[in-house]
Amino acid sequence: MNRNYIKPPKIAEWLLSKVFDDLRKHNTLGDFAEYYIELTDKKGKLIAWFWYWSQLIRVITGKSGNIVIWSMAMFRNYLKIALRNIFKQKIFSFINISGLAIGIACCVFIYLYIDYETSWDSYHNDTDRIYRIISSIKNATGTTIYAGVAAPLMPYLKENFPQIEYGARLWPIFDVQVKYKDRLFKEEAKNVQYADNDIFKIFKIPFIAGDYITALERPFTVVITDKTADKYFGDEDPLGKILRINDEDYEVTGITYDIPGNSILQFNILRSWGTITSRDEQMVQRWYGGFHMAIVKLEHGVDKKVFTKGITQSVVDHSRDILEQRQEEFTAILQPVTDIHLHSNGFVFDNAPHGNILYIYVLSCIGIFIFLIACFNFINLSTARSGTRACEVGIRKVAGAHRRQLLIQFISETLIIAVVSFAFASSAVIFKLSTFNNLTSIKIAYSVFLNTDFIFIILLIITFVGIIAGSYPALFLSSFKPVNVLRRSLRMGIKSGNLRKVLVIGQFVLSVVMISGAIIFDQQVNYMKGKPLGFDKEQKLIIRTQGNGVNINNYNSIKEEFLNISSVTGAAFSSSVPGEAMFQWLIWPTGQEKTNPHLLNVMSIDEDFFSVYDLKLIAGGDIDEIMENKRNSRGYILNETAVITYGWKSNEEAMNKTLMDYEPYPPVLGVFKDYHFEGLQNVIGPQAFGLRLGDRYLTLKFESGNIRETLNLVEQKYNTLFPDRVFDYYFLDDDLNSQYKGEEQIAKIFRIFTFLGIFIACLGLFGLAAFMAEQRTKEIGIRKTLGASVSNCWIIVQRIYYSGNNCKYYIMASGLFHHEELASAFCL
Amino acid sequence: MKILTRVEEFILLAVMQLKEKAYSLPIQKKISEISGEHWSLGTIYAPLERLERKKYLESSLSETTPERGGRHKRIYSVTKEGVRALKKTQEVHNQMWENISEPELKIKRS
Repeated sequence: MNRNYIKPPKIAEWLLSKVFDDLRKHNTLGDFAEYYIELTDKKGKLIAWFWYWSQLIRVITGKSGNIVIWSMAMFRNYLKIALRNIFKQKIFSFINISGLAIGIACCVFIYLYIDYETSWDSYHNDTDRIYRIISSIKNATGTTIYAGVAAPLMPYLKENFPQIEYGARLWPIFDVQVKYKDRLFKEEAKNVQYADNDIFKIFKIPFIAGDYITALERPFTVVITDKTADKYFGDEDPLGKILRINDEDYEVTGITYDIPGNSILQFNILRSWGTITSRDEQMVQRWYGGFHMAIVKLEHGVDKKVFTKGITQSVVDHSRDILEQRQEEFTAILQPVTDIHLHSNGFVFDNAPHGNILYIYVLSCIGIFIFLIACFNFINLSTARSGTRACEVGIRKVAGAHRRQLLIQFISETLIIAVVSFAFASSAVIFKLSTFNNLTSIKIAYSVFLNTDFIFIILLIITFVGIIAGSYPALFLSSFKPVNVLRRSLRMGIKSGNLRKVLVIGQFVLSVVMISGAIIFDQQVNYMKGKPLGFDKEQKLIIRTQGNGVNINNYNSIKEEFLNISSVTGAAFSSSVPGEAMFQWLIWPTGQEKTNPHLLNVMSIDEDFFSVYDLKLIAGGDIDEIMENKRNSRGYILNETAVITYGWKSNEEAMNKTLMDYEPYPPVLGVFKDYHFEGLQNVIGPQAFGLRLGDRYLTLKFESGNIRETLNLVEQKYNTLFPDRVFDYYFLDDDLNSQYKGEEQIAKIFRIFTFLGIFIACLGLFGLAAFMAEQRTKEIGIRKTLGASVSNCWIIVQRIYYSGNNCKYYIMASGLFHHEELASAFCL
Repeated sequence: MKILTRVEEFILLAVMQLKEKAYSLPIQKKISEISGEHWSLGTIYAPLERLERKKYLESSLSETTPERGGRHKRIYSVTKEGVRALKKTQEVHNQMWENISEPELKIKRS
């Protein structure tokens, strides 16, 4: 082996060269290099390699051991002094610690919330390959995004595109009634979905019993969750049993574990998609106008752009005629599954419950603000108190402390306080976790505290607090010159006055911003809830009557039965009610099929609907007359928006028109005043009332008074009329208000955290004021001896605040001034 | 203040023995060989520097070699002061050993 080519391990050598200074570097490294060669010759490369690295370790531990040992020697002292100081000034310590504790607790809660909200659907396998297909439709009025695609698209794609590994459709349709043996249950539409079998291969839905590969292959099979199984079957084994859903029998082929809260797919029952096709329902065979949720899992390495173009082409190929007719442009979009929850604002027909990314940003801001307020507090109080530590600093310096050591001392004091605060904060968090869960309607398990990410964040927060909050006081304290200190010529309160003002003003600004935000939010929510909808939503009891056998012959007598109850003053049947989905049909004025077709929201009503909901007919005469003459005929009553949509110049012009191209052309019977049939967030679309009987909803208008009693009477009446049906009801105003539940919650969270932030700031101010008053004890004493009364002393205390007040008022005024801009920024 | 410690003494003697080849590595080897104990390089460095500070040794950089990765060697040589210190130490050593005869060195069984 040629000696000249044996070199020591490069990394170790480089590290060593960093440790030694220049003087020794050549010497030592050269020696090591030589010895390395000898060792390689004598004992082999491995031994030599180990020897070299061991030298490195010994050198480093030798050098750093020095520092560590000396530091540790001082830490005992620092700890002792820190604890002594905390207990010596109990009030300030209390204020400091509670301020920090509240701040940390708030940050932790906000972090937990954000972590939860951003974790939706991230637990599935291979989430980077899972997407939702959504439709973007552009027409003359703009672009709308629909949260789904036509049903036939999925099987077509699976057959013709190898890029798809698995694909499944989901469709929650109407509410259902479930019967097992002799027990009746009602399930809401969103909990009972039709699903393709592939859904189990895309989403992680572990099975307790049953085979996930074949569970939903056959028609008329269902898969239920553990909770649902308990509800229906109790202790029986559900597998293989028959559930009767809306007069059809389904076999239970699988039971899954309960679905965690953070997934867009929430269900109690999944029905096989094959059930629909076996019934041959027209609705799922249309290529245009159906928007069902479609989830796909792509193969590895798929070019998304190419695939998306392929999807768009498939849909366009199959619906070219209609798209041309309606002059619309269709584009498909692949939405990553983890984006669905937060980034689906404004999508139409979105069945998945979703949050809003805006809230996440806002809450993060609040968290940061609160954190800053708590830190400013700490800095202020510490700096203010620093006079008491001045002597200590002076003597330490005289005894030979370096500035760096003093910095370490004071920062570690802050860290100790931070740790103590954190201990309090964590007990508060654990204590209040369930309250927080209720408040935000998310489910955070206690196990989240054991998550390594979480622990890391906590340590990060504590370190940040220690460093941010502690660095200025530490720097300030360690800068005292012993000369000044011991001569007591250190003038306290003046030098730090500027910083204190700045920090207090900073706190104030943050508080003002938060308050404005909370107020604006509250205003928005109240505005939405209080705005007139164009119809009367109060005192309405809605009963779902689909499938109850209501028809043209018996509906009047049914209504009369209910009207017999004295507190019920109105009853009306309809195919839909405000807040529920309506049918959407393509309708055009006679002869204008190609030029003027529009999708109208259509609802069938009976003769009492207008009076029950207090709607206004503004053209066509008297509503009662129309109902009387045209009951059950094919005419339509349109709303104002529909008239405008069709391009007619006045309501009177509309009155003469007929619609559609088949006999007998349904005439326009009247025009009614627009009302918000969807939430206030949406623009009013064109709507039509049809006069054929709608049998799905019965609206009862009742007098205010004893609601409970009215409800009981109505229920009794219902059970006599429909003994075999579940009494499924709700109050309209509750339902409509719940639309804003999400916003209300956020407003509430806003309010609470803002309050906490301000509370911390006030704590700080109180501490400062108390301290300054304490400083002036001598002065007050002297003034009292000279004869000042208590009220005079108050004036002095006032003057303490005075200096900062001017600035505060200015900030407040400008904040209010900018209210409008803030409002538009927050506008949802 | 002139009496050397054992390590210092050995190092100075080794330097004298090694003549021009007296740098850290051969010094360490020689002492290890002669004493029979393994002395690490670290044991040598500190005393070497201390001796140089006390002016008992002086050093100079010599040629570079490829074995050392192209680095210089630091060759040490004993100064007059160093020789004087050695002599003094030897004197004191001898005087301490005076009059101790062989029989006294035998360990008595008691």
